[in-house]
Amino acid sequence: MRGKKLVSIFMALLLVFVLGACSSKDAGSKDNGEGKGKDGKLSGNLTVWVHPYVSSEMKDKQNEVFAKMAADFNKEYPDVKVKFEEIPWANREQKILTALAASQGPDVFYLIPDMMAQFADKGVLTPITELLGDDWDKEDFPESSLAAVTYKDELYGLPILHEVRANVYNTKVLEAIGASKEDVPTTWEEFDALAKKAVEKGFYARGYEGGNTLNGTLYPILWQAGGDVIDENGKVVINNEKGVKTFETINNWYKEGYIPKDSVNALTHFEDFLEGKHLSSGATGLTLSSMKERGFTDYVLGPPLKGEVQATFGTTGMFVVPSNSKNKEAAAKLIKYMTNTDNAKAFNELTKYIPARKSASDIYANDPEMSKMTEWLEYTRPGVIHPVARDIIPLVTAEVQAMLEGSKSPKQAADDAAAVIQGEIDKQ
Amino acid sequence: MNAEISPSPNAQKATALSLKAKIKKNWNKYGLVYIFLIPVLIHFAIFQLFPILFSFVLTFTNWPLIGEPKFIGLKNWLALFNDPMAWKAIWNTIKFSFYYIVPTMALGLILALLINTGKIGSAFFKGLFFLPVVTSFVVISGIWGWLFKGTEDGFVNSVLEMFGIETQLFFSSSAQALIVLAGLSIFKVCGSTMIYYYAGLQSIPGELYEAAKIDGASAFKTFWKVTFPLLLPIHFYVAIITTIGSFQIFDSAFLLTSGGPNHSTTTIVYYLYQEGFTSLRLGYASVLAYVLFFIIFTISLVQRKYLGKEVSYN
Repeated sequence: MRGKKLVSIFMALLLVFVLGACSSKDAGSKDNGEGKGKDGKLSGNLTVWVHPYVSSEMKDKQNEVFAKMAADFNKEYPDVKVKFEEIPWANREQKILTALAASQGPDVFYLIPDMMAQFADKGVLTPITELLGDDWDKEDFPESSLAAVTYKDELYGLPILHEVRANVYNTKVLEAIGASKEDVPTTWEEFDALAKKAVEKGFYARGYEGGNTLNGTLYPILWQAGGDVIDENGKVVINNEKGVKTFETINNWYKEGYIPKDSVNALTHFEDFLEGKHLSSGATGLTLSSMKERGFTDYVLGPPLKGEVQATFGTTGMFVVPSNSKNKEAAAKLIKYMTNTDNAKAFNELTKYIPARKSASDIYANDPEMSKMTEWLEYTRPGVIHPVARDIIPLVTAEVQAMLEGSKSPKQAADDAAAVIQGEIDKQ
Repeated sequence: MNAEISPSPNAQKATALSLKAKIKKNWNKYGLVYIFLIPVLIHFAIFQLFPILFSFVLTFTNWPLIGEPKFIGLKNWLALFNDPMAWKAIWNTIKFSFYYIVPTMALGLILALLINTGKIGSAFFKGLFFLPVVTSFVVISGIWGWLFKGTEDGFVNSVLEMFGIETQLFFSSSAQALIVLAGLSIFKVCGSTMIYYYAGLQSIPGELYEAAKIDGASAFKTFWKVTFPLLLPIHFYVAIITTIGSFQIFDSAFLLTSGGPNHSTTTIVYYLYQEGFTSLRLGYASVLAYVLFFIIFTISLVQRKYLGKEVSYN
């Protein structure tokens, strides 16, 4: 009896300790002091977690860009010490969350919209609307840029970059099927005509990386068909008429050999495109610079395709402030400096992304391909903006895979995808 | 009336004295050992015991890693019974163990027998077979991904084509993906299994083989009647570590298949990772961790009962 009592007391104490240890009320990031000095000026330390946005050979240049951001900020706030730390891309969300949970995380970090919605919903982020005040050139950001950093009417970050997922076509394959660079398709009808010829000649029309994120596979095709995953009212619509049509399209591609046999769970098909096995591939600004670095020139750039709608995936990169930063005001002000026109230009010129500010959008005036990418920005969507956006990706992916393997019809797969999405929403 | 008979004060005093004496005697004998154990015990308490207890408490909470955990009682444990994905992950892990444990042990034993012949080149082969163990898992996974590419131009598919076998989908097939991942793990681990068996083979006295030879036993009979039974402690050890390893499978599913296709390679640890770090449901992920613990613990007990017998070379 006594032993049992002791165990109960021990477990109760442990529970109290754990709940206390996990509490974020007093937790702060690293050893940052409170954000204001005796004279009321912002002070203390700020740690910013960034990622390798460029290849390792250009790391020094990236460091220079970040150093300038800090220097600009310090001109107005000399008492705040800013430190940039580079974190690898792989598993970044886990690294950030575990560090924040241990109060060893950053005061500012990089995020994309679908993660932002989830993090904001779980209370990981600080809304910065009030911290920024009115002095942050709101009019200089396109509405789509601000929509990507806003959740439930609160601003959670400021955008620094955009990415557009357009298409590239292998010119040797175009030549082999009797087409030319001028025949680059703009609509699905035009693409289908070229794709049919390519398949007849033994090429694949395009890749379909079925094991990769849906932002690069199902979603753009769904949007182009006029469909969506979750509508503005929070209703799951992936299995409406347009959604089912999208599932059927992908299924037909697979059955008719438009996409490779390993499309069910492939992680990348880009090498196959470079090897001249595919007519087309998805491409971002980084893809273009990567092809140039490898000396690959047998391609021509094409716009996001138009079905019922012209649309594509295009992420928005933003800097955000975690809810347990002890220097939130200074962190929000730093973000303002990091994303100002000059710094946005320098950052995007180096990384080959597209600036999120109108005043910085002229950096690609002499680069025809990136100019086109910038023009196509208006067709981009930042993925699914909903707290379950990240949770549903493996679940919907599995439904598409089941369809491609033949164990579900397109309609059944779309209906089951809708059911698992609704299931995740209900768990919230 | 209290029916219990309390010991007399004198008897209590004597017991206390004898306990004190015992502690003193024990301290005199092992005091230094305890002192040297302190760093290890502190390390164990902080990095092993605390996380184990911490995650147990988390099973009763809803905690997205940041903020305060909310106490939700048994909700996470009850959710397990209504979560088909959890059962699928458990079943996938059991299937993986089936594909992995016996082949790893068999291959390790065969390789150990080969290098134990002592013939020229055995040292070279010892190093060669051990090479995958010391090679980065990411590198080996990359090679495996290239070998088993599920298109006509994949390496293994090209070889199969020579024998008239049609293109296999491998990682893109729900039926094959887990087997190919098991193959990767066997390739990575059998070198270390080989070393355990090699050490076991070295410890079997040579006169037993001489006696078998004099009795006219064939090579197969010698292996079956002498070598195999005398390796029982090694079988036990290898069975335990390969079982634990198989239930903790994560890296290959993470790197090569992302748990697909159609969840066919979603193992317990992969699912636990997804729930904990993608969906930020740390409480439920802790429940999955405890399920994993109970499975491994039970299997280890069964293995101990049937394989954990002492072996005498006399």
